[in-house]
Amino acid sequence: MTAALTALREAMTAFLTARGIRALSAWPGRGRLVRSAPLAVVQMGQVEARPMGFQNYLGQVYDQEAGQWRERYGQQVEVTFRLDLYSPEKTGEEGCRMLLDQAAGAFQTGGPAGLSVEKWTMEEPSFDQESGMFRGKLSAVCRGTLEAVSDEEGAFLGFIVKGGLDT
Amino acid sequence: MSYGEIVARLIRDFGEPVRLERDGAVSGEGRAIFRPILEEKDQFVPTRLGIRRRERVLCLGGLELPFGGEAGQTVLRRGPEAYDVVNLREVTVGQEPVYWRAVLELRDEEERL
Repeated sequence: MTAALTALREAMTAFLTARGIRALSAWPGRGRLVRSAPLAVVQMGQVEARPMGFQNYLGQVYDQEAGQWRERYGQQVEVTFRLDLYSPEKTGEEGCRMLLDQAAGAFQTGGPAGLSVEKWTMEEPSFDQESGMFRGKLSAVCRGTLEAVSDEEGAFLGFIVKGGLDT
Repeated sequence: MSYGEIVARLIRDFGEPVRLERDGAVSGEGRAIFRPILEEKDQFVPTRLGIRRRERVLCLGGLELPFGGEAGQTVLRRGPEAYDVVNLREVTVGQEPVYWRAVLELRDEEERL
């Protein structure tokens, strides 16, 4: 599975939603709602890219569609997702812990866009005056490969994120 | 006519009908006078959960409104609008309760699951 780097936040939201967790990408451009059930709000905290292979050269791969060999360049990428686990007063702090259980279960099966979840940490929930809800902070560190995409002439088009490196 | 009676009459004659709800159930009805609180901060502020509309009003409510009592989520309905209670105080003259003075904040639209 692949995704553009900038689309990873939406990929995490879709990943959680597909596993039955109510999730929303942070800073939506529409009006805030009074929530009646716990909700995870997803944002990207940190992205760190590191060199990989010899000068980021990852070898050749045969492109079935183009019918030719293609050279691959890329970097190892580490993405830290920050999840705010909100729970209305009605469901209380227990709602944050329920979301945490669900997220922990989902991370056992992998991460968004095929990324692997290396580790995750959760801070103690507390009441957030600004939102009027309980809020717990969950950080998930995911690892994958950032691979350069080029056209048939070799012109650079952009990057995609891959969960693992096919060899 | 006492100060309390004058205020009660003002609220009765010039107040708007309102309804109080506690934890989703109607707890009482009465009348209240509203006055917008204008702040220098932006009214629309982006937050992680969406755009927040910050709109506060000062509410002078009749004593028939059951604002007090045990803890719980109190919502005031004024026509189609709903308000959360931010701050509340019973105003007294000597020992005599006269009216409720509350700061209310316009409630976000409710989520429909």
